[in-house]
Amino acid sequence: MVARRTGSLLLALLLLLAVLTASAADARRRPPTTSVGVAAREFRFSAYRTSAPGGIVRFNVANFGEDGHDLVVETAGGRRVGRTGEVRSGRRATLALRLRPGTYRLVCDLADHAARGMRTSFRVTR
Amino acid sequence: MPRSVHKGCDDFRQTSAGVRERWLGAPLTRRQALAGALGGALAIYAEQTMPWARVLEAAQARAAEAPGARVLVSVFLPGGCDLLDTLPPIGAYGRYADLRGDMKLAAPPALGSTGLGIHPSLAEGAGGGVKGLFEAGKVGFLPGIDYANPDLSHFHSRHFWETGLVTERAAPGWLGRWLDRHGARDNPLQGLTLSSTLSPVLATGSAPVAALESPSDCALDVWAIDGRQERQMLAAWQRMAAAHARGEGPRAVHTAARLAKAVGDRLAPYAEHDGVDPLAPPVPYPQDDDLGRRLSRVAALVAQPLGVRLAAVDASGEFDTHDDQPRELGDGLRSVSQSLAAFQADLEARGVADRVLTLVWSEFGRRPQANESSGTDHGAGGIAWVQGARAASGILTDYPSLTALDPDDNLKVTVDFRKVYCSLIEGWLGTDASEVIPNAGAYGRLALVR
Amino acid sequence: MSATAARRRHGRRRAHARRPSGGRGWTEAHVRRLFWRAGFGATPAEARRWARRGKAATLDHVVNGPPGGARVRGPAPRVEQRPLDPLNEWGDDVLWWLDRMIRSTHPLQEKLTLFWHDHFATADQDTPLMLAQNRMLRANALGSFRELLGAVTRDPAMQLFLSLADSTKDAPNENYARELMELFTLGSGYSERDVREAARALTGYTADWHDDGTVTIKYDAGQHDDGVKTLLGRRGRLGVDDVLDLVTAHPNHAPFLVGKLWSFFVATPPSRATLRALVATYRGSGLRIEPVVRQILAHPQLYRGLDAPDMVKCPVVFLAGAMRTTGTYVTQDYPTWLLELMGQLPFSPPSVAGWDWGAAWMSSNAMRQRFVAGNHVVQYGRPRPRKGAAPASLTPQEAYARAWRAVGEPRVSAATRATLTHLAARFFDDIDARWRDQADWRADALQWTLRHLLLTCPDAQLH
Repeated sequence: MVARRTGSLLLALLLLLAVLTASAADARRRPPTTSVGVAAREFRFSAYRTSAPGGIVRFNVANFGEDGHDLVVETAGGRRVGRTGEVRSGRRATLALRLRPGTYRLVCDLADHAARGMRTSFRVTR
Repeated sequence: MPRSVHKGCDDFRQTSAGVRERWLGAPLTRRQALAGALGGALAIYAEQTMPWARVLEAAQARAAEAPGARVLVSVFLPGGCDLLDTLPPIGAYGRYADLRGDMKLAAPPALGSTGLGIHPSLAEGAGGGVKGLFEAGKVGFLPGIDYANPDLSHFHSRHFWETGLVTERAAPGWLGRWLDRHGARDNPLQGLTLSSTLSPVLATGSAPVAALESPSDCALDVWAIDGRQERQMLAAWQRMAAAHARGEGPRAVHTAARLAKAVGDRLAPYAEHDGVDPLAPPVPYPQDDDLGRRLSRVAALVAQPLGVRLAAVDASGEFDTHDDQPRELGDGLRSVSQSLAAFQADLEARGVADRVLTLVWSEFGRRPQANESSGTDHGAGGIAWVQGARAASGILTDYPSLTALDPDDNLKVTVDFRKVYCSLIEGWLGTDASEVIPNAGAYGRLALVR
Repeated sequence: MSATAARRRHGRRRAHARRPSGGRGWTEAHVRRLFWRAGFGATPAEARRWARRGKAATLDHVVNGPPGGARVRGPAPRVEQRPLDPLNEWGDDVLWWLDRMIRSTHPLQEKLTLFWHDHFATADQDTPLMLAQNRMLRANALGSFRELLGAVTRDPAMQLFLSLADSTKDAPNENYARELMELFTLGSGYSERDVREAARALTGYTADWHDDGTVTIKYDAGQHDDGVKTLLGRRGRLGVDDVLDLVTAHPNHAPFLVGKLWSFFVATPPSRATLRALVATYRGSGLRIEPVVRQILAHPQLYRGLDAPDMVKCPVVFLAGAMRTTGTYVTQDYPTWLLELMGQLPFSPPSVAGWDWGAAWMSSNAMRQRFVAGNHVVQYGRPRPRKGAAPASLTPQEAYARAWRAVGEPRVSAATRATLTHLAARFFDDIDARWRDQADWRADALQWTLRHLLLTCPDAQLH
């Protein structure tokens, strides 16, 4: 068995900080940051936290699979609030979003990956 | 993303940085630019107090050891590069168009009278990119390259290519094994990976090799000091490293300590300083392109008398084109074409093109039939090429049939990659391939070198 | 303490270093050797204390750990003020374990956990599974090998890594069966047929993935091949535990495993008599790890060449040891990326065969990264010179002694001590006249440099 060469921590940091529009009051308060480890592989996402308090949520995505994957965060209504862009096999990426309480979906929007199982839900609490 | 070792700037650091600045401002340690030194249009920076004459002397002595030694550069396209879109078969365009449907290349430029076309991205770059190099007789394509019963796992297949062994066992790289056999005991720069981590192709059993992003990454640097104190510190390090050591472990430690300093010393003149890059290439490379930047360093270091024999570089593009292949492959090949064309022009400008041969390879090919997402899945029968002033040019292997596919509907393999390795070892490096590739006699040989 | 007093104390301690204080030739040098090989180095206080207590008491302490079990002491790890989140932050898993190595009151347990992580090397699995495996290895680190092997065989990370999960009677996967014999228990003495038969006997595990991406490994008797197999000369309707019993009862198993354990602690191979004695201990104890390790740690061969150690520290031991022995804690993320660059990122072994040990750790690149690590340990750790704390009037010997104490009084060869003292004497010889009056800065820079070199010089790479 050959080990899969996990992408170097050093090479792999693709930091996408997309901050959603927020009220002025929110902006003045420094929101709590919660990190969520997410593993992607064919064809599933494993999120190591299934909920987080409202504020900045950092999705740390590691692609353990053979194919490229991306992570798209959608509201329950299907509105897209952020995506990592394609994460190559063995690589990692971070997506930081300011999320309000509610239910979100994590999906891979490459090819038919979502239909094949790469979708899971994520809750943001008060 | 390599991190700076200097990231922790706090009060002590700042204090000493302030002192450093004053030191650097003093005439004592001002570095001096020496233009037009060895290897063509290159500026060497050396400190006044560490005489540049000595740097050059040592360099010349080293060059005299192996004048004009040949260099082999490995460029890896990660992900499994598609043959059909890289070299579309114009002679069988109808069948190609059927297989590829909407994602097909509409009117690929022809590759001379070969009956093949070439991806338009490969015509980008200086002098017409890789297409231009082909037309100038400096590229030999190897379509259909793979091995029998291809394993379509990236990890497995990559490992086979890296080691030159179709086995899942851990092993040194095929170029690493060549260095174990024919390399020097004392020069890590003979096997150079342009990355912060060693390329598996160049992993050795015993010969020293080096991995670096840039010559600026190599110094033994104590944060608190600079200038003369740094030289005092390094002299102490040298004394400790030179101490007699008995036993395998202690000897390895002392050897590594000496070599670490030697690499730092040898590359110090080439490190960026005060925003000036002594390795700045004489020809333009693509902007903000990792592959181009790394290749430019390979060209510059090869041109210096540092004893570089082998180098490994990964392309920055995405070749695992399961979806949106037209865009992804186009972007990936554009970077490859622009970077390799600049690299070749750079080698020629530096007068070393005759002794550098480049092998471009990927771990497998892709399925001839497009998938539903304008992409292609892992397949067999890929593409590689050799490039260089001395490279055999043309289409050097049989292009796989688009109608007679293998039982899995993949392209049939027309050449084993180990045949190419054996041919490079014997035809370019000039040594017996069977020392490195088991059962080398079984693969036959290709003329890859003029 | 005045500089002169410091020198006296230093001189006295050195004079005492080899004097038997706990009786029968047990010195601080012995304690340091044992603590490095069995853990991550000894602090000066530990070296003094256990030299007084004698060999037997020290071995009991090292092997058994403190009464009541292992604890961690000292400040909890943080990354720039943030507590660790090993599941969700990249690299925090590595920092979490490194912190245990630095702060555990039972370092041998962590050292053996590292041994088993290399022996049963697993990579590229979900962080929760890797951390669960790490806990499992720790819990079994000194116990029964047969129980450990059973736990590893059923471990989800391992099952997924070597495709034992979903190896079914219709499609048995030989991956785990092969490594079980080649790498985990025997090394040699089995045939390809044994691999195939073992693979059949090991079928039946299935991976049950849940909607939230978590996984459970189940045993499904319906997927198990319950036919007759012949494995290592035994015939029958063999199942998972039969395979594990047979491979651990094989005559090659005990020499294979105790030989590997020996080579983890001692650089030179055991004599045949020593190997026989260790095998007898292992078998006599019912395949328990602790008595074998105790016997190795007590063996005179481990204490040879106290002035000239011959084992290369692996990157984890180099870094955890430098931190532990200098009283430096995890406050930054540098250990993770430095360990990767030095070639040993925990939870990411290069293959199922683990890392290459010994001289293979040493390359010019790896050495440079260890040198870089010195900057971080000095900058962010206890060894960092306090501004103006070192009087500018110290003699070279005093400056060296001060630096040596600040980095935990490591073993240093006479040649290294002479070189560094000479460096201290000459450091500012050719300083430009304009900076001669910067006495405080000079003393600080010298301390920084000496401490850095003591932490990274060739002597510091060996234990």
